[in-house]
Amino acid sequence: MTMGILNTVSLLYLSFIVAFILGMNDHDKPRGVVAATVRRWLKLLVALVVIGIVVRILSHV
Amino acid sequence: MGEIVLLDIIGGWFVPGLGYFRRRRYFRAFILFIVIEGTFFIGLCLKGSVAPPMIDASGGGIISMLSFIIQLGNGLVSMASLTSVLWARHLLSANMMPGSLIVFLSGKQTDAMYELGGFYLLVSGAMNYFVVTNFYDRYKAGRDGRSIIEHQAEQGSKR
Repeated sequence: MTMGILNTVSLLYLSFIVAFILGMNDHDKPRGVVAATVRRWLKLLVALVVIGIVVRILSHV
Repeated sequence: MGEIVLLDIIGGWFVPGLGYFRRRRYFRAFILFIVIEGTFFIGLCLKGSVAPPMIDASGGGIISMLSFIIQLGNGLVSMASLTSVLWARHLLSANMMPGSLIVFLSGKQTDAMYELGGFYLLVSGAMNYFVVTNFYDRYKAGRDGRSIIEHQAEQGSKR
């Protein structure tokens, strides 16, 4: 597996784990955990993609 | 039941989910254990390890120290990895080969995936810190294990 794919898969996995654990901390019922996890995961991914784009642009300036 | 036992906190730090296990919340304990230890295991497979921090006169050691503290969040396996790193160094300096378990737990600092593996260990440790502090929040002041959101909702409905 190339490092690029490994890093991308790691980004998805680790951001999911963070969102899932925080969701489990916040809620008791499975439905609440799932909803909080998905919401947090998507927000986190968008934030990470934006950071990635900014870093990419700045590295070419 | 509502009282926090120190053993739950320390035990939860050593083994993720142990505090919930002792409170008979088996499913939550099992999920937390699998997720946190699974992430740590992937980190070890990527040749990561809990290495002792580097002391750098230029100030670069601060990041290393913070990473080290957070990586120790996984308690028992973190300490096993740290001990293996130190033991492997000792054995190699004495021209002896460490065993396969020590090799696995001590990672490989020259490997291309070492930093990524270390990051998995970092996330694993940080998540366990969150779980332990959340456990404390759930069982303090008579909350009886309910999440803060549900506790607040219940308090609101009583008013």
